[in-house]
Amino acid sequence: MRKVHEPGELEEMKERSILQSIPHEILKAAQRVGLEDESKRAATYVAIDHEAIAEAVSEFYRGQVEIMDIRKALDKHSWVRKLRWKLISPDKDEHTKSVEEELGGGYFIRIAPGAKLILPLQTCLLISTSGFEQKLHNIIIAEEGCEATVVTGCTVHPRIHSGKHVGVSEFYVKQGAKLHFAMLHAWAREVSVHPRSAALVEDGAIFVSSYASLNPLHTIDMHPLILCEGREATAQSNILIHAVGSAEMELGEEAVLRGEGARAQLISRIVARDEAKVSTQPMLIGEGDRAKGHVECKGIVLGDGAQIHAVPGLWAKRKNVELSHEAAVGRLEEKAITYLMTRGLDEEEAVSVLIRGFLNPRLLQLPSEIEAEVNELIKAVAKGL
Amino acid sequence: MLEIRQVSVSVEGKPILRGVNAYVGDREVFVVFGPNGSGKTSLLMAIAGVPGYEITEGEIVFNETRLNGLPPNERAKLGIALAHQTPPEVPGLRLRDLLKICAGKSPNEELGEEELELAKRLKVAELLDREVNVGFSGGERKRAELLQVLAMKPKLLLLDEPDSGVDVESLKLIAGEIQRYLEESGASALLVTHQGEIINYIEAEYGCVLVNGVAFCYQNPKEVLKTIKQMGYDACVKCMSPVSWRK
Repeated sequence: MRKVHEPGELEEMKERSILQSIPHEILKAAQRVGLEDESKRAATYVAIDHEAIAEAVSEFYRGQVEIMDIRKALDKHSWVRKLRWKLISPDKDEHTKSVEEELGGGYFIRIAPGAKLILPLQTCLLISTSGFEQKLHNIIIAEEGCEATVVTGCTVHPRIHSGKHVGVSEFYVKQGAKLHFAMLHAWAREVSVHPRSAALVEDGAIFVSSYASLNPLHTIDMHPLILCEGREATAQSNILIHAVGSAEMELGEEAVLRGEGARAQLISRIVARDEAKVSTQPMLIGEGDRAKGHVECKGIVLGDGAQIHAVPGLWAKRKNVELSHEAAVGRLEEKAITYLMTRGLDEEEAVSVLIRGFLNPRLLQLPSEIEAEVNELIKAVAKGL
Repeated sequence: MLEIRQVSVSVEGKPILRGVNAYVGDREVFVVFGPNGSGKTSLLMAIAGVPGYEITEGEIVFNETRLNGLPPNERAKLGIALAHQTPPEVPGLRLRDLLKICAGKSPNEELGEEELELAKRLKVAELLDREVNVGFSGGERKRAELLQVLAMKPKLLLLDEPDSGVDVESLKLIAGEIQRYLEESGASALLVTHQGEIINYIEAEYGCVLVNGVAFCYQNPKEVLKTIKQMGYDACVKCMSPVSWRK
C-alpha cells in the first residue's frame, strides 16, 4: 500500500488547525464534500485512513455535543458498547463481520438533550493510501428534543484510485429530536463502498437522511434501514446518484413504520451513464396504525450501456396504513430538450441544464454553503455529459 | 423579415402543411387564424426548427438566411423566439434560471431591473423561484412564456395561441405586453390564434386562414376575423378561396 502522507506527519497534523493539518491536495477534495473550517461548525471529526486527526467541539457548543473517535468513546462510556451492534448485526454480511473483527475507526457523536445546534456538525473520512481498506463504525445519538445537522464527507486523495470503504453507522434519534444526516461521497474508479446503516427513530422524532454520490466508483451496495418505532416518528431519505463509468450500484432504503402515525418519504434521483448499472429497491413497510409513506424513484439513463433497475416496494401489514409510490425511469424528455433549445441552448447545454435540474441539490436540504459545493459538483458532472 | 415559400411540413411522415406561403415584413404582425388541428402550431414549430416537424418542400428564409435544417438554438440566436402553446414542465429548473438563459446571462449573474420589472408587469414575479411550469395554471404558463421570449429580445416573435385558455384580464395583459414590445423594439410577430380576440388589442397588418394545412384568404386580419365570427371555420373550409398571397 502506498501512503500519500509521510510517517509521523499525522502526529504533527493533530497540533495544527484542522484545515491546516490536512495535506493541500486532499484538503481540496475534502472541501468538495463539505469540509469547512472548524469555526463554522459546531463540532468536527476528521480521519485519514484509520487515524483520527481532528476531534473538536467549538467553544460555543461545549457541553452540548460530544464528538470523538469511536474507540475512545467505547473506552470512555461503557454504555456505548451496548449501543454498538444493537441495530445492525455483525453477522449481517462479510463487511459487517470485517468491522467487528478489526475496528479501524469511526466517530461517536452525542448531541445533548434539548440542544439546538444552529451550526452543523461535520465529519470527514478520507482515504489517502492506495488500496486501503477502511473499516469504520459510527454511532450517532440525538438525545431527546435536540436539533442538529451532521454533514459527513467521504473521499480519497486525488492520486488514489483504489480502496475499500466499509462504514457501519447506527443512529439513535430519541423522543422529539430532529436529526439531519447528510452524507456526500466522492470516490474514485477502483473504490468499493459498503455503507451499512440503521436508524432508530422514537416518539415524535424526525430523522432526515440525505445522500449524494456523484463521482466515479467501482461498486457500492447500501440498504439503509430506518426504524420509525415511535408514535408519530418521521423519516425522510433523499438520494442523488450520478453513476458513471462501469460503476455497479445496489441501493435501496427500507423504512419500517412501526409507531402509530409514523411517516416516511423515500426519494431518489438517479442518472446512469456510460456502462454504469444501478439497481434500487426502496421499500416501505407499514406496521403501525395510521402509518403513512411515499416512495418516489426517478431515473434517467444516458447512453446505450447504462442501466437502471428500479423496484419500489410497499408492504402494508395492517389496515389503516397508507403507502404509495411513484417511479419513472428512462430517457430525458425530448420535449424539454427542444424547449430549452428554442431558448438558445445547444443540445449539449440543454441536456446539461436538465440533468442539473434533475439532480437538484435542494432535494438534499443541505446547509447553503454545502449546497453550493454540491451544486458545483453537479454542474461539473452535467457539463461532462 | 420572414418569408415562408411554398412550405410543406410532415410530422412522423404524415403531411400536415401543404404549400404554405406567408410574408412577415419589418415591424409587421401577421396573424394566422385556424381551427384546432389545422396546422397552426406545426407552422410555428417548423419555423422555430423543432425536431419532428420536417420541411418536405419549400423554404423558410429569415433576414436572407435560409432556415431549413438549422437547429432551434441557431434560429433563436438569429433572433427568433417561440412562445409555446403548451410548454413542458422542467422539474428542477427555476424560472429565474431559465430567464437568465433567455436574457443571455451567466448562472451567477443576477437578473436585471428590466427582467424583474417585466416579470412584475406580467404578474409572474412570484413564480421566479418555482420550477418552470411545474404546477403553473394555464394563465401563468402563458405569461411565463411571454416573459421568457421577451427577455430574449427577439427580432421575430412566434406566438402560439397566447390567447387560449386565458380570461379577458390576462388576455389584455398579454396582448398589452406584446404590443408594447413590438412598438419599443421594432420587432415583428407571427401570431397564430383560434379565437382571434387578441387582435382587438394588437395592431396587426396581415393575416390568413389555415385549414387542413392549406393557407388562404390573405386579408386584413380584422376582416378575416369578422368573416370567421359571422360564418365560422366551417364556411372557411367550404370557401378556401385561393386569394393570392402578398409578396
